[in-house]
Amino acid sequence: MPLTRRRLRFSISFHACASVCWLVVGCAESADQPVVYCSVDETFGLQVMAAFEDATGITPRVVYDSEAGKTTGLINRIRAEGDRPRADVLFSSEIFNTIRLADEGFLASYKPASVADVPAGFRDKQNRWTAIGLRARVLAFDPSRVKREELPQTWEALSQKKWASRLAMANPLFGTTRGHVAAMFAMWGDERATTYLKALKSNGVQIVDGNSAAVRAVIDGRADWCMTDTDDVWVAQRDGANIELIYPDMGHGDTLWIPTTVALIANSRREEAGQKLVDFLASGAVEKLLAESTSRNVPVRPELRRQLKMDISISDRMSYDDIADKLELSAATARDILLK
Amino acid sequence: MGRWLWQVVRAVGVAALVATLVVPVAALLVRALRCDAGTLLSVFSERYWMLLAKTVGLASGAAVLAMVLGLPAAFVVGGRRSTLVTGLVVLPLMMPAMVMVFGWQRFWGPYTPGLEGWAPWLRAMWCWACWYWPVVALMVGAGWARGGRAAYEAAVLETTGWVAFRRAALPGVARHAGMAALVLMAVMVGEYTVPHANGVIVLSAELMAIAEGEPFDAAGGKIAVGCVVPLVMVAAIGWVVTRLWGRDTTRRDDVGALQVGRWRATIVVAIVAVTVGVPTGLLMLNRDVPSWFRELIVTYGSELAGTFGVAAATAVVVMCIGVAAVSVRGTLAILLATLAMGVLPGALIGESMLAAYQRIDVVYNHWPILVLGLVGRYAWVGCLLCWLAMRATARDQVESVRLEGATSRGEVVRSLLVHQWPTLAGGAFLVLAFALADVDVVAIVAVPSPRMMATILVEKFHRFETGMMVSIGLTMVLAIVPAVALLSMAMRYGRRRA
Repeated sequence: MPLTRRRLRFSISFHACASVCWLVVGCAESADQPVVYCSVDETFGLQVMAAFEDATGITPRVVYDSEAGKTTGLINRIRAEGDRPRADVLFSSEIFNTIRLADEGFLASYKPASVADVPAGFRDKQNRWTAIGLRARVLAFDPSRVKREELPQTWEALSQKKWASRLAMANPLFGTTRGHVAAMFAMWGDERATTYLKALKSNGVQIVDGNSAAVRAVIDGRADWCMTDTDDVWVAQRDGANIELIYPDMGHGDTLWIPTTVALIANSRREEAGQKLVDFLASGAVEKLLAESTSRNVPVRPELRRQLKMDISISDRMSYDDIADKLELSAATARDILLK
Repeated sequence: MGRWLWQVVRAVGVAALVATLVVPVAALLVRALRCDAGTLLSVFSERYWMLLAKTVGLASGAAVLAMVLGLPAAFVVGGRRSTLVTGLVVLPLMMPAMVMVFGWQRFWGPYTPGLEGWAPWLRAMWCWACWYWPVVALMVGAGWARGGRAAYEAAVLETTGWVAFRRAALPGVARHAGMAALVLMAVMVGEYTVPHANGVIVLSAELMAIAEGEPFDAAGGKIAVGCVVPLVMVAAIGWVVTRLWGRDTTRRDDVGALQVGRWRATIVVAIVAVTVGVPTGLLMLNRDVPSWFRELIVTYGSELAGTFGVAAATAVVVMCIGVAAVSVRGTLAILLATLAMGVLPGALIGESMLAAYQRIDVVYNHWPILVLGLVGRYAWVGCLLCWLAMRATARDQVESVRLEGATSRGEVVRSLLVHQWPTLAGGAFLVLAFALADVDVVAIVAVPSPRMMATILVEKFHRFETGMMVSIGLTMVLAIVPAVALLSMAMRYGRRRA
């Protein structure tokens, strides 16, 4: 059949229409597929979402955080989306921003079926969030350059010249470092924490892009030790880096433990699917999965800790709500002092 | 190109121009106006000026290094025709910057004795130079071709080579070198990935942090205000360059149609081997590479396909914009507007897209916002190439088209651009490569699906996942090789027709 101009036009029109239809279908949203805003590291997030898919046959649609904004970026997106949220579920690698979001009315009240064995301190009284797998704030160092016993045993001692001048820390406006600084304000008081930040600055602390960049600074020899999270050290060790950690005391006999949080977003468009996912994410199975992953999160469920032989006692002498209340003040102070 | 198809391409181009330039900028301005002046001006903190100074310092050092790498190649490329050499020169520019950084990090190793404090800076400068030297080679090469070489060859008959070069060729080439430095500064001031991967915080990283960390209304306005100073600075340098060396009035000489000699080609091959071959080769030096690739396909097969789909759609739309821009009035204004958008930090472009399309679900929740963001960033490529293609058209060709019955501007452009399809195809491949490697824009406008491979690559870097990092990086490099080959073939075809 000869290719006439008319046939060519028809062919192009047909394919253009077919393409548009395909694109529209491709953009259609399924009511079964919850959308998750996830700031848990992608490597571990993928494992958890795959487990959900295996268990339910539903594939969640996930937006992960970016390295620049971490959890804060996703939280600000939820705020900006307001009453038209794109996400149904928040799976956050920290708790303080989740509490703030709950207080601002962006999270729905929903008690997952699987949280009976979660201690009360790790659940919101109004059931707007549930906390699972903990990571600790630690001091990471290269044992070939620094001896473990030489390191300070408290976070507060780090502001001294001999420590701060060789210390790297992540941008205090983002991620768990933001929460860590807020914890200092909540536990030590505003004045003492402000003095501490000033001492860090005047004694030469290095501010880097993020926790993993801080670990990299230690590995590269640009810093001798850094403030970071446990999982950043574990993954660097897996890659062969010569790096170890200690758990300095925040002043209450323990370091700061930061849980992962799960929450259903208010006005969710796929509420039922979102609830299913929240049930799963808050379950012991996910805690176990995170504990056995390279992230090595410590379960909040004491029984699970015993099963996994994680002989760690978590102090309950700090209130996450109190720390969340200090987020704004501490971030503003840290910006003025450390990021000037 | 049939009239009907031509109308479709133009309509897509005009619509995309409005959707990626006019609407987002307007939306951003509306948001900025909602903020009080104090909030907007708070971006100019001590830290801002310190980071701006750091950025300019870093970019200046990298520009000098890029000159060192690019100038030898410029004198090979300029005036001598070899599609292979030109293709090779374009190759580093198309390589994802993150991949280059990872490769070089393996070369340097964990320690640089005595240089711990400066090592990240030096690394960032070197990686930028390895990436951007083709800009110098192509721009200075163009100056050399336009008259520098002819002037030099005339002068060398009367005096020594160096004196001839200094007196006759240098004035013509210096202007192009100055413009190349300007382009490098403009691009580097908005670039985020290379300093970030090397552990250096620069202004673009700060703007990215503002985009993610500040409340939605304030973020866009603050970034926009924060971009004013670098833009004014770049414009001022441009003005100085133009004042120093005046307008380019030289015409392309006719003696440039020489073949590249073997030893001259070797210079270019050597520079490409150092800047592209070494980092890529170092990434491949591992016996686990095949298994890493298998893991990549299993884990990220759909993301790979989605990323290529988004990049391809971006390339097509960008070239439609280019075609539309040259076929309507105000081409130069459109070109300048897209160029201005292109040098802005990706964070601002991403923010402007969110501001414009947050309420339109079919765009905001899916891949179209990725395409729009990337088109906003790279529309200048299409506009510039189509504009250059039209400028390169001889006057008699235009007259002949008019004699054949083309009356309107659009019909003239249609008739002429049909013969420039290799340029359009080459531009599309270039945009495809840029879109594949982009991190800044796609990090801000991220959607559930597809996840762009460049952002996954950054994540793997931060999670110390060497295997995935290498396999994703090499996949992105492999993707640009056919693009470069097709670009060379397109150029060869175009020259044969000419």
